[in-house]
Amino acid sequence: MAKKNEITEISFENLTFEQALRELQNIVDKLETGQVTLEEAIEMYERGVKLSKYCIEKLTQAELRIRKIIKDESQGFTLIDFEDFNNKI
Amino acid sequence: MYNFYPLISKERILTVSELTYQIKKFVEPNFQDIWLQGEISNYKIHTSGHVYFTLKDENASINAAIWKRYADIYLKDYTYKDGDKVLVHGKIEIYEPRGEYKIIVDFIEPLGIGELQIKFEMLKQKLAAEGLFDAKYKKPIPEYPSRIGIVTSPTGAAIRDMINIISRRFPAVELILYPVKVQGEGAAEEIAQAIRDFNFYGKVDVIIVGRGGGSIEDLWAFNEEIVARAIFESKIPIISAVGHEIDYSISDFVADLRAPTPSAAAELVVKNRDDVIENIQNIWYTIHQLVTDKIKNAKKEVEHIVKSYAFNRPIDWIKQYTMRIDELTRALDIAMSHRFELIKHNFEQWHKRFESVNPELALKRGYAIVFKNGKIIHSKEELKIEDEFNIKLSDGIIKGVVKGYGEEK
Repeated sequence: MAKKNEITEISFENLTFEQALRELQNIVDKLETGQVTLEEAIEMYERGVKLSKYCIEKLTQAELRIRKIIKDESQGFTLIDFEDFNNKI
Repeated sequence: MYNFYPLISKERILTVSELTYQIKKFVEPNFQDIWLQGEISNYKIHTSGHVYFTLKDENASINAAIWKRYADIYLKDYTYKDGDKVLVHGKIEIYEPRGEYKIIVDFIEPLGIGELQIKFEMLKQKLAAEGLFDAKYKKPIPEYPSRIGIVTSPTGAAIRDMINIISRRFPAVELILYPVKVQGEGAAEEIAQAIRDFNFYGKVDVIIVGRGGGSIEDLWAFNEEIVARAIFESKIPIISAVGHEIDYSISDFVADLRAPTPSAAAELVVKNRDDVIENIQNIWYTIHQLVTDKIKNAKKEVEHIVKSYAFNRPIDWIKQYTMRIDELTRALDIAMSHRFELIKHNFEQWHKRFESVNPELALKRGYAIVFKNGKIIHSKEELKIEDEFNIKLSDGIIKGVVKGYGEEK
């Protein structure tokens, strides 16, 4: 059981908001068709709790980041905070 | 019948050819350098490459022809159609076999639109013919981009508007600005390079290319072929947001999505966060309902089975099934406790948002609250003469007693 949770947590790290939302929608779709066992339903439930929490956290905690991209001589790119804007306002 | 023209001199009888030739000799030298304006009709491109049409105004018309070598120059990127008003240059030619005259055109341009507009139309037609605007090349705009690339001026109103709108609607994103010149010498090259660089960089989900309103000259960079090609070649979806609602640019046509203004692009590229939160809460609620119902139904089923076997000894598997459901119910309860965490978390978020209307802050601004027996007083009707009350100020409470009522305002 512990091992399983671990896998879930790790996969959350790489999950984008959009993927998490899509997975939530998939859970609803699967549950609505009724083709799942009780055990599966509970697993989906737990996953659903985590996913919606994750999504809401992503939505509410993040603040808008504004950065400026700068190309250097070696064709590499660097991001720096776009301060000009904040100073000007 | 009488002939009213006695045959004075038979030598003056002309053949048709002679007459036509004389007219030709008389007319043509006098109409070698003609500027003519009119409306096109019967526009036809012959397989030979020559183009024939009629120029007309309200009262007259004249046939016109553009030989292939001029058609190749003036009609390469711009197709005329019936009804277009044009200015042409040419000479009058009399075509003897038919006794017709026409103007042989060696220059043509649309009438009544400026030079930039002609360039615009020419490029638009050319790129359309190449298929750059075709719907099949339009890439879908991601619904929830996490990184948004913006190609615009770092100092213009456009970037300010976009930042404001996105931070209000959906701040859970990262904006990456690629500062460029948006007008004047070299602007088109910079914009095109920025689009290519974003593709090389790769780590943005969508790119907004644009600028605020201005004259057709100001917006011109977005009508340059180099920008159109860079947009077309971009692997990352592009939203074009140039000028005001009424301004259409070539970049609008070739981009995957046209936004009427930069502000509109900001509204299109992110959803409203509150709507999304509500949607997730609805999804969550549905999951909760569905699973709870499922467990309830399973319980009922087991109870039913147990009842119908009431006179038999309950067999093992029913027992096991009952236990399993009890376990699942417990699992649901545990999951529910997670849910409370979620609700608590949301509440905290809401609380934060409503802090701005917190009465404590109002007190700090100099307002006061009147209490009697711990209840807030809203009206003078609630206090009688000699009633005691408390006034809450930001730093403490003052006790008071009603001595009388003031005049009605």
